[in-house]
Amino acid sequence: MNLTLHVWRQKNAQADGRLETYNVADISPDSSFLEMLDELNEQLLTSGQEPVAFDSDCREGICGMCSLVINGVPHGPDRGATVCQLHMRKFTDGDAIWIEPWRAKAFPVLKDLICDRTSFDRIIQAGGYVSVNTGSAQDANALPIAKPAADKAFEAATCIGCGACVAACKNASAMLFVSAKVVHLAELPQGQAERQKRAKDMVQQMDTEGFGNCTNQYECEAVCPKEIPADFIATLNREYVRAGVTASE
Amino acid sequence: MRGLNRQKRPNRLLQLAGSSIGGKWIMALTGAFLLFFLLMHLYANLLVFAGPEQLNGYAIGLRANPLIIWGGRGAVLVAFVVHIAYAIKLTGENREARPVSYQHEATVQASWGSRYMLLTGGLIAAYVVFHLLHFTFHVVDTGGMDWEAGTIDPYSMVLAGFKHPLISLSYLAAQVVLFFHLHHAVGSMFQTVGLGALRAKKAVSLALPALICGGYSLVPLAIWFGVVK
Ligand code: HEM
Ligand code: FES
Repeated sequence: MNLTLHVWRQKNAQADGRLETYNVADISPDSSFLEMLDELNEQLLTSGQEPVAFDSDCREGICGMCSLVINGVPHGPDRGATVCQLHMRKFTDGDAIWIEPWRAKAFPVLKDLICDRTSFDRIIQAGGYVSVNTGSAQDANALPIAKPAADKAFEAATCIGCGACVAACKNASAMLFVSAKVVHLAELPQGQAERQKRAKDMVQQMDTEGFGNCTNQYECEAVCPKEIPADFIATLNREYVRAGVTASE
Repeated sequence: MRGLNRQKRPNRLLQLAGSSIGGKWIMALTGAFLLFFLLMHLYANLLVFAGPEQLNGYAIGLRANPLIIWGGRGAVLVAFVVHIAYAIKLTGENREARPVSYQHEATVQASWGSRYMLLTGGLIAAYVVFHLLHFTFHVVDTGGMDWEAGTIDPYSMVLAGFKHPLISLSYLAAQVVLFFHLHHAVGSMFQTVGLGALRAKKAVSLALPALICGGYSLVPLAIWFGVVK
């Protein structure tokens, strides 16, 4: 396959970036999208140019590092998949492809296609955990969890924190991410003690980071590689207001 | 200790109202109240089909009760102003949240109505101002408004007003805009107050706006085509 790539290049966080156009030839339809970028980088390196910086780690859809907006869609055209799971056979020979980083005030671009997603870490630090006091763990079977609750918690827990929801949202809102974390722990008995404080603190941190407000357009749900449903945001809306009105701290 | 803690704590409701999700709730609750008003106002409008005694009688009844007329007007005004203020605040924050936009934009599933809420809302506000200048303050005089002192006759006023095709057309156009606003708004409202998984959400977000906008449109159409004389 021969392709024309329009890739966002940006030297560092302070520099102005712009789209650069590259041509790549003889790409195998069986290669992954990231392998195609690896080939582009080899081509750039051999001609003495700076390779394109992009994030990836596991390359099997579980770590949440890869983060490319392809033709305007985070993670590209496949539904329910990360960009590392995307294959070139989804494109046709001669295609022009636009590749950009996640765009949000809370995800500043560091270089080329890499952005800083530590705002998500700070949201988790604000309450996305269950405090564990020392002592020996109790017997797992001593804590019964109903099957529907376990299933729902697991569905929420599949979030890999990639940030595609923010990148896709017209308002750069992080509510799908935060709702997945809040729902995950709110469903489980271990999450009850800190349930209200968690919802409050995580939303407050989300607002402080400068993410936008959800307008219920569900672009997030459409691009989420783990297909987290936007219904979780409705649950978050309920959890947050309940916590705001009644939480004791 | 409690007392001390309490003093340092920021006011709960203020904190809620300033937050992203609190702001969404305020949009939804003021919007829900405006929807309730639209339904009441629709009922009154449709009395035009019952004849002058019914419509004028309803208007006289409303005005006879200052609590209802002034309380109602006040509540609608407050809801409208708060809704608009938060619409501007939230939309402004949303624009700020993405300072650099995509060079190649794409939309996967966001509806047309959902993407132009501030625009359709702004058009509705402009229409409401015109509507008040017309039928409430009589600044726009389309006839039938010279009531004898101490009496009111909205029936004749509405009939005379909608005899003008341009007036009728502008009212009908406003209903189309309102429909787009409400179509996204009603589904959105369920989601915002935590009823996102409600099965009837899709149906209600189509049926309620259709009822409201269709119902209002009947009045100018019926007068235009001479069904109501
Ligand atoms: C007849 C009057 C109106 C009614 C019944 C109405 C109703 C609603 C409702 C129910 C919502 C949904 C709230 C939510 O997201 O949960 C909404 C959202 C909204 N309204 Fe209105 N509205 C009216 C007038 C206006 C006006 C005059 C403006 C502004 C200039 C406006 C701007 C907006 C905006 C920007 C949203 C947020 C959209 C979003 O979150 O996607 N509306 N409206
Ligand atoms: S590289 Fe780990 S999810 Fe894509």
